[in-house]
Amino acid sequence: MRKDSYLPLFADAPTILQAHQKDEQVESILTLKIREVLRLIKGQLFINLHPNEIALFGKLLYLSITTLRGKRTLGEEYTDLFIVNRKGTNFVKRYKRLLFVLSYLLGPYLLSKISNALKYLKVKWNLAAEKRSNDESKTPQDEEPHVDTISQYFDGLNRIANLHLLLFYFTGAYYDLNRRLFGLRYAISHKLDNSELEIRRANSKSYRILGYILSMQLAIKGLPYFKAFYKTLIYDDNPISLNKVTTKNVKYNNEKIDLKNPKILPYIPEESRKCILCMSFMINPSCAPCGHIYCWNCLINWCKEKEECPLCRQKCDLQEILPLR
Amino acid sequence: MSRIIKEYNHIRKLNALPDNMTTLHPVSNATSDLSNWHSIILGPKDSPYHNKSFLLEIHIPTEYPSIPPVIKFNKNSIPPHCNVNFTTGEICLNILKNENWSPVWNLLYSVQAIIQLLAYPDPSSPLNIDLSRLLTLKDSKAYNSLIKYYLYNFPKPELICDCEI
Repeated sequence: MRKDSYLPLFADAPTILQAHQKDEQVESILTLKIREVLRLIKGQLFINLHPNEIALFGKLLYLSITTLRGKRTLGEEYTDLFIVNRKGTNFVKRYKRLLFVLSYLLGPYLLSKISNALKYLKVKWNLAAEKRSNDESKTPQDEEPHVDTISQYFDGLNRIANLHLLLFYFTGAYYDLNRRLFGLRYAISHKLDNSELEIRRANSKSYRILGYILSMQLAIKGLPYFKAFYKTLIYDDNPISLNKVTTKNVKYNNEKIDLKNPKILPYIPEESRKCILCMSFMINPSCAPCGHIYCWNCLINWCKEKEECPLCRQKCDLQEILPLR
Repeated sequence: MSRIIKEYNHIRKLNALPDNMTTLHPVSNATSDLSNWHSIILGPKDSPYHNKSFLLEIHIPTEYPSIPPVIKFNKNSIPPHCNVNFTTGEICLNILKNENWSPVWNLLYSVQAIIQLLAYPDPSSPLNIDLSRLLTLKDSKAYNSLIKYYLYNFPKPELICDCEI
């Protein structure tokens, strides 16, 4: 915080966080409304197929009618903040705001798309490698895929975002990387008297504790990597990379598992090979936490409607559904 | 929609059986449209509806089986019942509501549940206030007599099966 009398004060971490929470709330309401409209026009299936795109559209709509137009968002209004440039001397230029909105929304979305595509490629590559090693008795390990290194790069990006959050907790300047990149800083738009200044200072101090906790978490997470790195330093003729150890034993199978064929998953008895939801032989059988088995698609579609097992009504979160292999 | 075709094949087999209690068939004869069904149900034994038959109109929504089928009584064959709206034929049955439905149930179960409902009315969520009052007062004699009085002119099972719907 600065002492200049004619320039507005920069906002502190708690206030920025509060504005963000409010914005997220409003965005989720907006997205919900969009979903309702889309359900009437395009049907439930469309919503189930494109949840991310709909959320993205909601955010885009919200930011383009607020930040892009140079208006305050509801969260900023709520906490009485407005966006200024890096030095706090002027408003942010329109093209910077546009670049911010685009990178803020499309960046993570595109990255997740690319990393998903890469994961798929990796699975394919592993399958091909397995086949090759089955065909020839030798184990060809000469060509390493670049995929691994690229996916590590994505992990690295994630870590950078975490580090940036850490920085935010300590300094309270930019909440996310995109804002730092394009210089969108928050300032308080009313004059502060001394008592309010005191309260704000105390609040931002307590946010440092969060920063310490986060840095501890990062350190603990990083420990195994340091260990692996240390090991490679000692036995450098036989390098061990963590990723290889974990992925080597996992067999990837991307093919459709159709229980019509009695040879597939023979441990499932004849009378329970049909899915009770679609009444045909199961395709990609999947297990709810309670143990009941359905087709993957049938169960997922129902759990999007209501998160419970169709047979016994036990809670069945989407992420708890296990595909059987 | 593929599931309703499977159910249709199963129901057709059941209909062919000689001791079949409920008849269930699509309204149009062409198998391409399975969204509207008719069902003739017989009043269960030991209930005032015994020896009477009723016609159900069933609509299968496109999202079925994620959402339940819409079932009501035909306008000309509405039984007096505490969970049935006597003018519209609407049925209040908890498992046919969106929040209680489970995709495990099928069309046949739903119809059987309605037959059950005839025998075991639930006065806690009534659509026919007069009958539910009689039930909450535990005046079963008045309840049964009133239903029998209303049903006096209703067709017997063999009659409604013969006539054209």
